[in-house]
Amino acid sequence: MIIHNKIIKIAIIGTALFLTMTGTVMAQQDTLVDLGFRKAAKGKIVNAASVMNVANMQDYDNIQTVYDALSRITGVKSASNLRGKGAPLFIIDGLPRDITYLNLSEVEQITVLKDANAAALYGSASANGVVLITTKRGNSRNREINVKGHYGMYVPKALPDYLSSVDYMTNYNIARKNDGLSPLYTDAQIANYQWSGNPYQYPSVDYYSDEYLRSYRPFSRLMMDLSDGNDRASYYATAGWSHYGSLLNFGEGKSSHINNFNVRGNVDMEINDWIKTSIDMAGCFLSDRQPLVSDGASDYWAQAAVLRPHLFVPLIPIGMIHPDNETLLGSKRNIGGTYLAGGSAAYLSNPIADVYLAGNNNIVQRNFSFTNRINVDLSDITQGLSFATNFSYDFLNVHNEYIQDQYAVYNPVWVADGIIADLEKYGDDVHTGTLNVGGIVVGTRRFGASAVLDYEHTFNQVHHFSGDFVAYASQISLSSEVQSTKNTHLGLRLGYVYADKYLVDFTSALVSSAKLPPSRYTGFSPTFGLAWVVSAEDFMRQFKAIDLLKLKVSGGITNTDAQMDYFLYDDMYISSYGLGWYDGAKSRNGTLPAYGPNTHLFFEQYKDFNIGMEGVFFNRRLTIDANYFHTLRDGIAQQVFTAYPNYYTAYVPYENFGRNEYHGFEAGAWWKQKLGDLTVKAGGTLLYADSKTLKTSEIYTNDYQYRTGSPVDAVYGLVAEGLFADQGEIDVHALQAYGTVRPGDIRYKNLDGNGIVNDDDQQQIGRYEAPLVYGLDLTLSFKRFTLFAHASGQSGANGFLSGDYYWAQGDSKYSSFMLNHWTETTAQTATYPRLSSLAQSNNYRTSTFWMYSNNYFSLDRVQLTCDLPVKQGNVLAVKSLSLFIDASSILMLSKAKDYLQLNVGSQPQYRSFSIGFKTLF
Amino acid sequence: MKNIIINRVIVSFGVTLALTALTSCENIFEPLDDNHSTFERVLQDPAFAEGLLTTGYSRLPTNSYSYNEAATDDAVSNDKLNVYLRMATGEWSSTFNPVGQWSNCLLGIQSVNHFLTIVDGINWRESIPAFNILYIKRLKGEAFGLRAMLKFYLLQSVAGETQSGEMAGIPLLDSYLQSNADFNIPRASFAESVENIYSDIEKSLNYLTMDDYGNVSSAAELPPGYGKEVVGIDPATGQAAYGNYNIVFGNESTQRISGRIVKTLRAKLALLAASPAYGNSQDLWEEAAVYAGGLVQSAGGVSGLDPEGHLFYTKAYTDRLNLAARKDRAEIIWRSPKTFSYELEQANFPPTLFGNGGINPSQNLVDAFPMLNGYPTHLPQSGYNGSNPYAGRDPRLSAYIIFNNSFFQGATIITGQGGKENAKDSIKTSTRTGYYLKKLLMEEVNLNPNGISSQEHYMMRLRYTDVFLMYAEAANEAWGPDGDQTGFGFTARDVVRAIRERAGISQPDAYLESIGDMRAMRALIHNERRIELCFEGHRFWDLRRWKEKIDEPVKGVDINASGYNYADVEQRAYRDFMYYGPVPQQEILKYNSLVQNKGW
Repeated sequence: MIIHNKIIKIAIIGTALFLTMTGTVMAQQDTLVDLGFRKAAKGKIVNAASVMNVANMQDYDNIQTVYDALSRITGVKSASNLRGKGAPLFIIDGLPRDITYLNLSEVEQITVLKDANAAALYGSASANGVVLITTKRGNSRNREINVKGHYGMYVPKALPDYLSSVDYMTNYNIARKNDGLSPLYTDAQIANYQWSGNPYQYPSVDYYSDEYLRSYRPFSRLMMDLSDGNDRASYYATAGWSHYGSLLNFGEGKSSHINNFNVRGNVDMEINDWIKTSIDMAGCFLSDRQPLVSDGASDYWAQAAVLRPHLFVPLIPIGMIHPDNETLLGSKRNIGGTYLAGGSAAYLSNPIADVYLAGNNNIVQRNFSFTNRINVDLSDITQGLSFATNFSYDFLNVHNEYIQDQYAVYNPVWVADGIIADLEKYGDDVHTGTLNVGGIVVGTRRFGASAVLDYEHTFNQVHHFSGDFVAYASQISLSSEVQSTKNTHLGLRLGYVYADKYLVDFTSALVSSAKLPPSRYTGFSPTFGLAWVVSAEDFMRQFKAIDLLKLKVSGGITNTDAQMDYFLYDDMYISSYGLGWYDGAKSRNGTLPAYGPNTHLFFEQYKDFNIGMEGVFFNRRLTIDANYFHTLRDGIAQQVFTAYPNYYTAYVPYENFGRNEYHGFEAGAWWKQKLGDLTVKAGGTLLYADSKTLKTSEIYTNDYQYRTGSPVDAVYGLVAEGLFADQGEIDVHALQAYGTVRPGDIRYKNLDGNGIVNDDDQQQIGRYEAPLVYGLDLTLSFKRFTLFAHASGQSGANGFLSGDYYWAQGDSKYSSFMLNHWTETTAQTATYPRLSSLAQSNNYRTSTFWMYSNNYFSLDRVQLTCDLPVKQGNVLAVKSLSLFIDASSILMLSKAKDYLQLNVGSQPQYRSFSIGFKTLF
Repeated sequence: MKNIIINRVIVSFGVTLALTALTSCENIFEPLDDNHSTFERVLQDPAFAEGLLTTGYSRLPTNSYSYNEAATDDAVSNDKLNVYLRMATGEWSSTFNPVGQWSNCLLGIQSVNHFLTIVDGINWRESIPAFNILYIKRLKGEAFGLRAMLKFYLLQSVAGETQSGEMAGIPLLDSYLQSNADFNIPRASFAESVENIYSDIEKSLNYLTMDDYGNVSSAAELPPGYGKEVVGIDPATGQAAYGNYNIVFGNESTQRISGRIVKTLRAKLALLAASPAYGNSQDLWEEAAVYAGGLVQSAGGVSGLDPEGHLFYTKAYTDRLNLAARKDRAEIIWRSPKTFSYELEQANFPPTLFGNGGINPSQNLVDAFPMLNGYPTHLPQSGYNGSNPYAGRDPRLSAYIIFNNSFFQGATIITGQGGKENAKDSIKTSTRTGYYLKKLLMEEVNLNPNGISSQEHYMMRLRYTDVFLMYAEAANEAWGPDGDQTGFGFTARDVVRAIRERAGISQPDAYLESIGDMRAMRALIHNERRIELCFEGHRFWDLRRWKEKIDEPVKGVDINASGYNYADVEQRAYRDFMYYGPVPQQEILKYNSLVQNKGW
């Protein structure tokens, strides 16, 4: 365990070392970076923006999704968390879109706009930052065909481990004994389950055994893209197909699969010498076929985590039933002529029979995306002036196609010698064979439009002026919601650069909100940025090791309504529970306020400050990028419930009340070195993101209970002091107000010393979000071989065990986790509280007892690529060919590995291995 | 050159306009007009305005059966995470209070107060001016009655002794609270609270001078206060236009709060105030006896007891209720409309009948049922046979509870050894006590997935048996078993006799006649109340009101070859201050004028 910690520490120190000593050029200073409404050379950027050139990366790293790529970028924790603040705005080709349906191989570049100054032109939705994704385009000079394919398997990382029938019964009897009740299962009964040898009469069902599950899930992908062009037009086209098999190896589970097909065509045209236009279209078709489950709400995995092993036999062998049995003869549906479905009056279906007999559901998703851009060159009016528009329309719909069958279950009546004497039948056999089409489960439409007047000109080779005037509108409508998300704003950016040394930027937005009261619906969001390219100064010439050194500072205010709902200011009344009278001939709904009115409601404001540096050193071998950031999220719209009585809840208005602070540090360093035939590239990113609640609606008895001053993600709970050894200890300890306490129960600290342990004794015991995350990349190229590895880790957060798998109580299924539970004889060594057949409210609540540190270090990807020698001018016109073998989620070092890698009640987490090729024609 | 420039500008504008046109199919700057309602609609739309009163109705705890018996010695729940189970086994606190009514009732009161601020200004029915006056009278009568009722249920749940020894009641919210109001409202004393509720009842009865709603057929039948100056004049006869009265107070208003309902509430309040946990004085018992006695008298005295009232939940009884033909039964004071459902049965039927076996009556309750001859089972005269314990019992036992070998829905339910899923503790949905619930459930509901059939149910809110027993209890305490000071013409013993006769214990029964003093009669009345009103949410509060033992362990029965083995199934971890409920702890923190009850 100590070793794990050391490795994590070494990883952190290693990352820090990269910052001070080593590293490679990720993006050159003169590369053009897409900044949304304009492109700029990296050297001319004032604010905190990071760029990833995806196209290059894919030569040696075969990751598939934008999600995977994002977490490699400095400052990005995940697709839903930028700098610890929350989900950024995703912009694909200029307008907001869903990244779920985008294949990474279609992507050219990803830019992350992290500070307010960089993101401001995106208005209200940009408060947490913006991720800009640019798809590939055709090249007018070069015809290229790329074909890529791979095949692989997903292997479950871990499966739940539940007790067998015998162990369950034995432990359940202990649980009853602990509650002062008599044992439920007699020794004779338990012995039958242990020794009878008839698993149908005395079942011990293991839903995770290889009887039902394959050892892996196969998958394969094939992708082709094509680009070409001439003087007037060029295009990029791609088509891809992926297929994922199933882990279940029986019935409908065998044939269940996911099929995903996607296409894209990006076309650029010159209408004349001053008007250019482009039309992009993309589509994605996904079908996900799964077995249906009878109880509707859950799937195989959810049921497998609940049903205890001894309850019933899911499959009854027909061979054990007398062939003349009338119920058997009357049965219409069986499983392959071999089994009948098992069950009872209380269990009218079971997950295994479901997979065989309940039918299947096909979730069909279709996504379509359209973009049109027009670019008008206005340099006739003034040198450097242009006008551009962008218009987008996307839609997604999801529906279900299902065949729903019913089946009868049978409860066998056994005679002593293991022969079924009779069957009790419950339910009916109905095989409809009818394909039903469910209504639109989800339908999403996205509109976006923007127009920008752009100016850029350098006078006398030193004064570089630029500016943008932007009009922007977007709308996202979900079929499930009445109101769509609307964003409209005007943006103005003014930039000045003197001699590539001093950079000034003013970017602002006049934001309009459809959510705020009519008198207060616009907000002005100003931001400033300053940068100084120190290395361009004459006095720096002498420092040969410094190729570039830029210092920058930016700040601003972003008005946002993204977290608010519509009409929160209004005096809204809703219909509530009603009354019927005159035997139902008359009825009336209740009327109740939804909340109180507040005509002063305004935008939330993000007050943002960023200070950073960029540097390139040692003849461009080392690149460093680092920022300190601080954001005050002010005026969070919330109902201040604690200022009103609890019966007044429905009347409480929304106010701009809450305040949170986010701050931290991010850094990335890349180093590249050639050593003969060996090229080494190494890089590291690090993000330390902390937060603090400054103001929120709360009231507590004790100071230590207040959330103010603690991280936004703080977890409050009781402080456990081990297990009570005997009644004497309980008697002298403070009374614990969570139900009857017996020896073997968790003992909690009475923080306020008032003699009663209750919710007032909860203090901050941990936090959910890891403040420190880091990633490491290593690429080694030797002649034809390239080895790539990526690792990541996090530190400083906690997880909490909960749910039936860890908390055995009442009639829950017992897992092997509770085997070392407390009994009088194991009192000294027990690591788990006493079992109980009733509710165990005292033990099963958030406390330090169930807390663990979820620090980890994980080797996420390794890929070995080999470029095969290709003879130019060969028959197949192959220009290059490479083969690769890769693996994902390979290894995790963590004390909490067992918890982090286990899914209970849903599909397991997988590690994957695959082999593939990539050719260029 | 100039032309080119103009061209380019025109193109740019054209493109922008086209884009604007494309995107502006819905106004992008404003929210979609989703037709949501504001206070404006409350003032314009009478149905929406009446909704403020309806919200008060919707907060009544009697809108559904709570089954809080699982927190008493009458039953346990087989759902191990049931809130009443958790509460009864040690979790009850001022932050976990499943029987709490604080925010529920006070919200109802706030909404009723809101309604009272607008009721006079709403155009309830435009066509005839008299209608407005009549509607306002009825709605105000309902509003004050409803407010009294919400206050009563709040008082029952929270009244209690504070640290200083004072008996505290509820905060008195008699006006609508705006968001800038002073919310630091103290609890009035118990006595003041009772007075305040009485005064709401008086206000209500000033409007609801009729006991029940229903059409009248002549001006002469109009109740007091509803003469021609109120209902208007019929031009044809020159008499009061009773047709107007019928529209507002007639048949179509039944099952809303009426005079009789408010009077029943008054009797309940008086009984609570007189109970040992609170007042316990001769005067208060007399007051309670008078209010309850008046209601019994208006139902025709002891002979007015509905002969089938104890089986009010059965299909046969429910089917015969026909409001249109004015055939509601004598038992019913207030009930909900009939609706088809099977949820109660699904929750409580035994597992082999596809139910979840939820509420399991206790051995303690079973023991409370006497023998058919009227004697309690522990007395030698009873003839109770320990090896055949369910034979020769009060017929209410087999009507209310499914025990071992009960015949139910065409099947024998075995809760002992060999009973498969129905046997005690065998699966998650099996009984934990050896008993299943039968009362309130309709045997005719079929839950078999091959053909689920629901039945018409209604929810009993207030019934006469309760009133009869209230009278018996109060009269016994005030005047003894055979006293009738006010001359109602019936005594506590008469009422108990009628109830036991209805149950099937032939009268006169020797045990009842052997009861001599007030104390013995008190025990018998408490027991009759326990049996008659079981599973209707009374036991939890009755035990506290009487200050009887609340921590009696709940027993069950294991039936096997060795016979009937009785054992504790669940403890009742109530401590001595738990006769009175808590005020929510957060409210105490927020408002320094609020005082918590002792112990919480």
